[in-house]
Amino acid sequence: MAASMEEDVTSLRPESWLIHRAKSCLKTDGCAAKAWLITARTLFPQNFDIKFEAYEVEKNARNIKLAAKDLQEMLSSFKEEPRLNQELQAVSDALQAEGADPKTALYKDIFSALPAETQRQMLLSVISQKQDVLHQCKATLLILRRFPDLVPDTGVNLAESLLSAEKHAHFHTALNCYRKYLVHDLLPIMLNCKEASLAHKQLYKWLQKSIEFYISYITQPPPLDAGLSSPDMMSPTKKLTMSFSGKRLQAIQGLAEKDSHIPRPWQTLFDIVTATGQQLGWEIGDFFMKTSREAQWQEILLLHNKCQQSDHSGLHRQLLYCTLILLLQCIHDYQTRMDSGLFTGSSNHLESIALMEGFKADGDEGRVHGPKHKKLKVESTIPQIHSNSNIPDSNVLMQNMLTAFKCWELLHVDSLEKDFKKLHSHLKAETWAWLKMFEVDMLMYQGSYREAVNLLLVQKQDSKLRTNLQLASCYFCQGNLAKCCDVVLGILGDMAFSDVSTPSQLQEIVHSGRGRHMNLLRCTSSEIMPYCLHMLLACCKEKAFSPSSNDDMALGHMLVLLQYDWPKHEALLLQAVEKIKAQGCFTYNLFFNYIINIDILEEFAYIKSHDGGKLNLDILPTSTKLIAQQRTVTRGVNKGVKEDFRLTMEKQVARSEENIEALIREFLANERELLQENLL
Amino acid sequence: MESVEHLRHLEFPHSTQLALQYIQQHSGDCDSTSTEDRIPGLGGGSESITQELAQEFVFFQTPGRQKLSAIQEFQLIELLCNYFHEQKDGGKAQAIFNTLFDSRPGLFQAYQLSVLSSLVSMGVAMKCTVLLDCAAIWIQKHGYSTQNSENLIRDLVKDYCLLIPGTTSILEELPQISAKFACSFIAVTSAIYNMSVPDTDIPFSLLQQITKWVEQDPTLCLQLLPPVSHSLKTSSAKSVVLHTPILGLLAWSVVIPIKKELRTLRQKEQQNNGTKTIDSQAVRLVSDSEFSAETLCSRLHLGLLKTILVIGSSPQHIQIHLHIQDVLSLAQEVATLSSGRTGLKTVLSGAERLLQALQVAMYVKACRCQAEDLKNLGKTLPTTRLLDILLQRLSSTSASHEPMEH
Repeated sequence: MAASMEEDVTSLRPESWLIHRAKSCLKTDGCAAKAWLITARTLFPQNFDIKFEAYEVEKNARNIKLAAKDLQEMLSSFKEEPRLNQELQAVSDALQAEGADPKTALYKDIFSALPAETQRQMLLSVISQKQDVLHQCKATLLILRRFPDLVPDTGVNLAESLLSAEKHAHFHTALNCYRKYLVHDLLPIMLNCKEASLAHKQLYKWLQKSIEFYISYITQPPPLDAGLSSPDMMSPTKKLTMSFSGKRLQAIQGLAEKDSHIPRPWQTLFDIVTATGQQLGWEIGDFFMKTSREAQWQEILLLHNKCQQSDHSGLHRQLLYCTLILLLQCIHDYQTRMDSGLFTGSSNHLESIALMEGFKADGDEGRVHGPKHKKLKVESTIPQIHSNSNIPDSNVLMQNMLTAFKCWELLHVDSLEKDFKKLHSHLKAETWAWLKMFEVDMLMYQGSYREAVNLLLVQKQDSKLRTNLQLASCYFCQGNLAKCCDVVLGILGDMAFSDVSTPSQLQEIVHSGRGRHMNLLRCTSSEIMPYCLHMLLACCKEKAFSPSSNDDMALGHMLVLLQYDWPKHEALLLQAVEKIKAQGCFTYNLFFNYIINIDILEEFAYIKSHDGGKLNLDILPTSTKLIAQQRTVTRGVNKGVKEDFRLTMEKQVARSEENIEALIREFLANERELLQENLL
Repeated sequence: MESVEHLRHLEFPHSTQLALQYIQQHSGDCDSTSTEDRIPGLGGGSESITQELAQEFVFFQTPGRQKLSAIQEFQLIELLCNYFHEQKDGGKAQAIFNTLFDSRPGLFQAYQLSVLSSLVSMGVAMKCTVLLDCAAIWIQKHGYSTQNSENLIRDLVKDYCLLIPGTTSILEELPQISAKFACSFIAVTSAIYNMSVPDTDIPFSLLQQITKWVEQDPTLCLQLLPPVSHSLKTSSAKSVVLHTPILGLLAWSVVIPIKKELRTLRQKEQQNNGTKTIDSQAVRLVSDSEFSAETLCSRLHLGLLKTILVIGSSPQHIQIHLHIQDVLSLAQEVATLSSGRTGLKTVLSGAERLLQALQVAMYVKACRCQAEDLKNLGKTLPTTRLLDILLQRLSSTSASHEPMEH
């Protein structure tokens, strides 16, 4: 065996034999190995293997300077050698690695020992070897950080490659690996390179890509199938959803969990906008650092004024982008507070909040305000928005909402609307559900109920309480009582029964004073119930007192409903009684099923009596007309009926202590069809 | 000569201090013409006066004058060391140094040299760069393998390598204090511990120290100035043949391991003859120390190869640092030493070391070697694959050159 090895050695070519000699004494005598390699190098100066072996010896002995020197020499004379390229790759990988294992540290040290020009040459050579865009990207980032002068050329090329790779990967979202590398890793380096003059067209394109990415990231909806996917995948085609320490995290397609996390996305976006602005000659200053929304809005106004005095397109775009970013941030903040379940990553779990049209106090210019009152609409274009004590930090919420409203309106003025629409479409903003929800709020705020309904109907498939409430509110304002009632009944039917029946909230949804009012309503049954019943009551009232109809059914339903929160609507009872008196008769056979309020019972007992006017009330569970028909052959029919009424009334008084909310719920559940039919 | 008379009335060390001042004032006068160019005994003017002053008031060697006591002699050395230490101008210092220590052979010279030896030893301890630089030039003038130079360095080796073990740490920084002197030190040492002389063993600590120097600074061995007397005569358009420590040190790296191995073999044979059972422990101990000597030689050899490579990095000044005749003689020494035992491990590796150095030197054009020379080497040295490769290369390159010469 030894003999055959010896033979093998003698048959080696001189170059290989020399390397073999060096290697064979490496363990026992490093100096002898090096001496052999020096000799070999002088004999075969053009031989790569010898050179590489010398490098390996120095590297393994951790002679950083000597290894770097060898590497540098190889880089200048043996560029094409695969082993060298592998080694350069290893160095490049080590530079990207975060860990501090000895091998990584060694490569980093060797790289640091190289002259800057060689470092540059080396990294460029590594990039040229890369086929995969992402790998190329990582290597390019390394080089750009060290050599900013390469930004205009290498950096721009990489940006284009990333965009093209993204396009060909056919992602359905901006939240993908290519985009992240572009807007999170590459762009900051490029934009902060003051010397590089980048084309404005490209800057705007990148800015749009950045906004789309960061907004999508920030507003990513919670995953539907959370917990189903495994977190250890790397394929760009797989969708990644994850849960990390209990908190839902944003996912970026094609990236592992740890790479998907962006600690301060808003700040990063602001930095990009600011840096882009600097390249474009904008004067952004500390616009995004300002903590007061009002101060930011004042700055926008100032910019708007400047724009009107000058037709400089840069100024115009600065206004467009700054307003847009401010709008988006305000909406995000606002929506986060309105509905914590809207975005991934938010942690509180309160019920959502809905922006609803408010009610006018009875006697204040009719019943409710709505488009029916045309005079009123003109008068009240800017409604007053009321919060309630159940909403934390409601002033912050309101400020964000109102600033967002103002920004939205500004973006729809003539000079900006066209560009905003274009930008809107570039950003694929039509896919942002949270923006649609904001638009609904905005339309309701503007009193454009029809448009709001159109938008709400699109969202209705989510069957969100907030959506349905707003839909009901809009229908109500439009005067579409049947649809309003339909939606309200749906809401109340789905709603869990609340033990605490405190209709005190109602005071806050009914407002006196001129102009429109809107309410922020937390979607809890204790807040929704009064609102919905109020709306239903208003519907019935509308129908009951409509001059065209003579509808006892609506009047009866109204009577049932106004028992809730009694005696708030006592005036309505009197109004109803007046109407009945004027009619002389009243038919409502559900009366004793649902009316237990002692005041109402007394009032009806009275009007039935001789003193009260002896009105003809057909309110027994079985119609008196039917009884009359049955009793035609018998004498003294009316006497029996009178007796029945008295007895029923007496029995009913005993029920007056029953839970009114339960009764109303029962009413709504049992008589739903009747109600709907009636309000058609 | 009023001042001289005045000096005679003064006591040591004041007289010496004043004498040195006088020498300092006048020794620059002869800068333009170096002392060697004068005919000995006919030196006139200030030169002879300053030398006489030195003889009388520095060394106190004028007949009839009282000589210095041992303590006074030590004071003198200290005084001189401080005196040179304070010199700012290297050229001036050199002139004074020459005045003091260049002298004609005679009785007085022996004393001068012993003072010089003590002074240099103190200069090393005191890290006196000016003094050591001057001493390096002095050695250069006197020649690297002359008795005077050898004695000077021998004393240093005795002081710092032999007397007290571990004192080499003082020598450690010598290249930083005076590279010229360190280089001269190596050159003279390699001449003293000439491997062709049997039974000259290099002190281990000296080998260790020189190895460290060489591997730390591959230019150190190239600091050597050409011997003055030769350079003037032989310099021509052709490359100058230099005597450098490279050959001497190469001989160390080749011969020391062979000598050690032969000695171990002899010991083993004696043990085998004496007692039947071999004390394996004793053999191991010996071979351990052999191993470290072998390691040192390997390090030294690598340092030499790097030194030779440095020669090539300044191509405009390429000179012959390794003469092929010297290499052949070295090979002959190896052959003689091993007396035919070509199978010895150290003989083989020694031959390879020699050939490696030769190849690297040829590569940087610091050695001229013909195919014929290599064949001669092959006759003396054991056969190795490296020699075959060298021969093959040399014949192929010379073959490619031949048609051009026609």
